[in-house]
Amino acid sequence: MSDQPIFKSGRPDEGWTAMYGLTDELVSYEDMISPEFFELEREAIFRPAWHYVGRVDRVPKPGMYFTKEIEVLKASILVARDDAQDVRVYHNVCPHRGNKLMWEADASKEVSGRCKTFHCKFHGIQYDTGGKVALLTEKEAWLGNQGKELALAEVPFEVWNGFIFVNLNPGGPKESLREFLGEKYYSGFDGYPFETCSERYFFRANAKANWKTMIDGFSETYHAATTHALPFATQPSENLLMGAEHFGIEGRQRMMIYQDWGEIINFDYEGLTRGFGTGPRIEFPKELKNLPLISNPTQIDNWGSVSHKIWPQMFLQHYNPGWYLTYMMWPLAYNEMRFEVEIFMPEPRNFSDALAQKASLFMFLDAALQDFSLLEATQMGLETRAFNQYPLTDQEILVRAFHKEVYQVVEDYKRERGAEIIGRS
Amino acid sequence: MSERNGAVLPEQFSELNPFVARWNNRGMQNQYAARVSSTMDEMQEFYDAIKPHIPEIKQYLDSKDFAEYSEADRTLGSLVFAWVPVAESVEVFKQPKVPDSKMYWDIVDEPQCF
Repeated sequence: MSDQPIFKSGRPDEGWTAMYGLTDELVSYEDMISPEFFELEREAIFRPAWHYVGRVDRVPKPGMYFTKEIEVLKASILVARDDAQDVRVYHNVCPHRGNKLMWEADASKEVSGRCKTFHCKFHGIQYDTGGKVALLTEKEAWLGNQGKELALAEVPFEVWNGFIFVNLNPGGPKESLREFLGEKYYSGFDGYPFETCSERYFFRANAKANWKTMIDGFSETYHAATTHALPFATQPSENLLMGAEHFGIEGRQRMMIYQDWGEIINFDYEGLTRGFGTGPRIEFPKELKNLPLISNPTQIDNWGSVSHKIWPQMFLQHYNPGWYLTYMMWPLAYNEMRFEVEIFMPEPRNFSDALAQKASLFMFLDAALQDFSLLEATQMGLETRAFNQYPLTDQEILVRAFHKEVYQVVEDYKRERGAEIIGRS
Repeated sequence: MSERNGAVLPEQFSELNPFVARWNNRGMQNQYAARVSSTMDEMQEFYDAIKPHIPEIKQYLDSKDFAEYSEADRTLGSLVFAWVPVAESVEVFKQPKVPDSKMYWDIVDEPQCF
């Protein structure tokens, strides 16, 4: 690759930062290195939020289920298809003695499968897929109706374009998913055939870094020319080589588009497999290419990828010619996170398709490792407090906007709680 | 394990049989693990042996539906999947691991194509 910008940026004359009403002030990352700040985030950001836990396609038939661990809220979720064909979401906890219900070998690990009843490993009580007692052991020993009235606790959830979101706010959701996402996002994807990408890959890795380090990493594209110099074969340059074409801010949701960087075969294995770091270059069902307006507001023909950042810790990203992925950055502690990647591809028609898919995913995993390995270095660097404030470029508008929002939400929470505490006394 | 590793390839690819024992790993997690636990010399040998056959393997396997695959066909397909991370090491990184990285993925789920 030559030392030329690979596409002309769609940058507005005043720059993205000014266009979105932000300034060039230096940014503090105290929000990534303070244990106290993390405890506030848990309550202010994660408690009231809606969280994506999986797609409905994972439970197509009655009795199918999967569990989801949400450590930041100390929750274990059980998603199931009941016998009446409806999706149900429960706390994955037996209402008898509080034992975790569905798990195998290691109770901290997620499981999935299909069963007629959920069977507690402690006293053998079984619950049907509708959450009611199906088999009560030691029936005579129960006092009054307490045994037969046992039922799994339901978790509020909503299904949005096949994506299941749960809400764990005590006392119920503060706002509907429609209000949480905002009308444009809530209805903006209607009709897009996400379900056509029926092949699911799921990858996971932990890092000793704050959850926002990874979000920041995926909130700009131009690091790719350095972090992924291999395999993109870029050379050090003062030009913007891999910048984004468009940045969008819509309430708390953010988006970014970059153009198709072209079919550049730098290595033999790319040509042989038709797999590339940006995905397989094979024929896809046509309808997948036609993105909804919200994903391509400027109607660019040669879009390469469109990344939506959904508040607080989710990405939903389309890749040319129409596969997509989700990222979840789950916090475990102020300096520890679990990164989850779900990749959805259309069914391969033949071996060549399958090879192109698997090859592109091996490359994707190696590229993501390059990103991922940086995070611990970032966390360590920030924690030295060598600097208290940092500059951001115009291409890092979404990093700037995200931290501003995080600080704001935590401030608002502190003010409300302060008012509450004063009101009580 | 021994039975699977003893599997042979379809007749016309029999010259690749010596690579089956070491490289017939099913699933991305095992295919990746084989790469990071191999030396560059071992990978170079496997890389060189498979590479010229890939167009022919694609043509051969593309002529069948996944449901029609024999065990030998599945072995052949897996061998090519296992070749991909090896090719990345040989062509791009020149070492078994991604430079500047210590961790790797937990590959929890992937479609079984065949």
